[in-house]
Amino acid sequence: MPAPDRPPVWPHVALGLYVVLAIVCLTWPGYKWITHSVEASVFGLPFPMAWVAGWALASCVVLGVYMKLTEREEEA
Amino acid sequence: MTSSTTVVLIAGAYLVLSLVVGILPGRKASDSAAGYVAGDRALGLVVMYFITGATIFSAFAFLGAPGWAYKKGVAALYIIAYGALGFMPFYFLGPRAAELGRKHGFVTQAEMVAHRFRMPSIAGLMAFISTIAFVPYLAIQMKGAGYVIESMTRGTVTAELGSAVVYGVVTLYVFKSGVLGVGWTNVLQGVFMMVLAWILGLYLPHHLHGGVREMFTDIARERPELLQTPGLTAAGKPWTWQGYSTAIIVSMIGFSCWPHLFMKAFSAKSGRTLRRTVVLYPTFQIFLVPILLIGFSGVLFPSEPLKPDQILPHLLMNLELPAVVVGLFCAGALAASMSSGDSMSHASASIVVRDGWITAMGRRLSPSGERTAIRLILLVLMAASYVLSVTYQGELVNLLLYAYGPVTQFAPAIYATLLWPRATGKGVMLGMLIGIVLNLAFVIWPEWNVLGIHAAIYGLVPNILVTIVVSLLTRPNPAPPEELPRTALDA
Repeated sequence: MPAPDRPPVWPHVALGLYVVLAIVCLTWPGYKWITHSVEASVFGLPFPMAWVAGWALASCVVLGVYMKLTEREEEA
Repeated sequence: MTSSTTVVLIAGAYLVLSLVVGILPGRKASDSAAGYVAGDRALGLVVMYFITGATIFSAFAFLGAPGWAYKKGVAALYIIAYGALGFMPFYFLGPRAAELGRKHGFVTQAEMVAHRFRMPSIAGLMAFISTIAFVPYLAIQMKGAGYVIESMTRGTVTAELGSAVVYGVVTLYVFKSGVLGVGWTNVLQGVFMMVLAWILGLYLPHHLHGGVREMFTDIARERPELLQTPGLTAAGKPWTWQGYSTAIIVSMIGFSCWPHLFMKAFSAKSGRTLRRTVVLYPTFQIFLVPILLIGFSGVLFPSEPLKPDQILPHLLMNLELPAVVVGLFCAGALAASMSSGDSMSHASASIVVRDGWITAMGRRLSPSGERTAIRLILLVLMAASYVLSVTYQGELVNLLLYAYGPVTQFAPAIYATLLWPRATGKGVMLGMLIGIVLNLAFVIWPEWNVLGIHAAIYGLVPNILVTIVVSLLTRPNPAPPEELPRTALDA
C-alpha cells in the first residue's frame, strides 16, 4: 500500500529563512551595511526609506505565497 | 463663513457619519458577550483588514509619526520596519486561538491563557496590566483629538470640549454596537486616513520644495544627519545601532500580543480570514510612507512648532491653506485618534469584566448581564481617561512608557499557550512576573541600561528563560491531550 503523501517541509523552512534574512536586513548588521553602502534614490525617496518599505511589501508577497502553498495543510 | 466655522462643520459632519456607521451594525449582533465582544465570530476580510490596520494607527499617525520624521529623521523608519514582520506570528497564533475560542467560548486572550493552565490568577494579572496600560493610552488619544480641534479652529473650540464631543461619539457607538461598531467605523476611518495621508504626503513636499526628490535633496544638503541611518534620538544625538535594532525586535515580538489586537482573532469568521488579514497587513505599513513625507516636508520650514509632534498642524496653519483642506485634515486626525480609542476602550472594558470579574474572581453573569456589565465599565473607563487627559499635568507619554513594556511581557505566555504543550502555569506566571518587574526597573532607572538596548529586552530574556526552566521543573499541565495546543509538527 503506498504511503500517504507527506506535506512538503520546504515552505516552512523557506519562510523561516526569509524571517531571519528580513530581521538581519532591517536591523544591525544588514541594515547598517546596505544603507551605508548604497546612496541611490528610489522614486525620489532616500534609499533607507525605499529599502524598509520594500521589505514591508516583500513580506506581504512572501507570506501570500506561503499561504498558497500550505493553507490546505493548515486547514487539515 | 469664517474658516473656523468651515473646519467645525467638516469635523462635525465626519463625526455624524462615524456615529451612523458605528451604530447601525449593532442591530445585527446577538445580545451576548460573544456578540458584543467578538461580533458573533463572523467578521469578514474587509472589516478584519481595517480593524487590525486602523486600530494600531492612533493619534500618533498624524501627530507623532510626522514629528519623528521631522525631529529624528530616518529613525522614524523603525515604525515601518517592525510592522513588516510584526504581525506575522499572528498568522500562526490567530487561527489556533480562534479555534480554541469557538470550542471554549473565549473572547479575550487572558481567559484563553488562564484556561489552558487552569490558573485564573494569570487572567487577573493580565487584566490588571492591560487596564493600567489602556487608560493613559486612551487619555493620549483624547488629548490628541482635543489638541487638533483647538489648534485647527484657532481656539474657537477648546481642547477639553473637542475631546469630550469626539469621545462622546466614540462612547455612543461602542456602547451600542460593541466590536461591530468598532469594525465598521474602522473601515471608514482607515479609508479616510489613507486617502488623506497620500494627499498631504504628496502635496506638502510639492508645495514647499517642488517635489519629493527635491525635498530630500534639500534635506541632504542642509540637514544630512537626518538621513543618516539609524537616525537621531529625541535629544538630537545619533541613535545607537543596538538601541534601534532591539526596539524593532521587541516590537516584532510583542506586537501581536497587544490585547485589543489579539482578541480580534476571536472575531474573525474563520482561520482562512485571519490568515488573509495577516498577509495583507503590511500594505497598511506603506501608508506610513506619506505620513513620514509630511514630517520631512517641515524640516526646512522657516518657523518651528512648539513640539515636534505639532509639525503637521503647524504647517497647515502657517501655509494659509483653504479652510476645506484644514477641515479635512482635522477629520483625518480625528479618524486616527478614534480608530484606536474605540478599539482600546472596547477591549479594556471587555477585559475588566471577562478576565478580571469572571475568570479571575470566579463570578458568574448571564450572557446579557455580561454585556451590560461591559457597557457600564466602558462608561467608567471613558470617564476616568477623560479626567486623566484634562487634569494630569505631566507628559502622558511618560505614563505610557511604564505601561507599554509590561504588555510586551505577555508574549512568552501567549506563545507558550498556543505552541508549547509542555509549558506549565507556574512557569508562565513566574516568567511573566519577573519580566514585568525587570522591565519596569529598567524603565524607572535607565542608568542601569549599560548596554543601551531596549528596556523590554531585560524583561523578555529572563521571562523566556524562567518560563522554559520552571515549566520543565514542574508537573505537566493536567489538561486532557485534546485540549493541549498542537505543535507545528501536528499541523
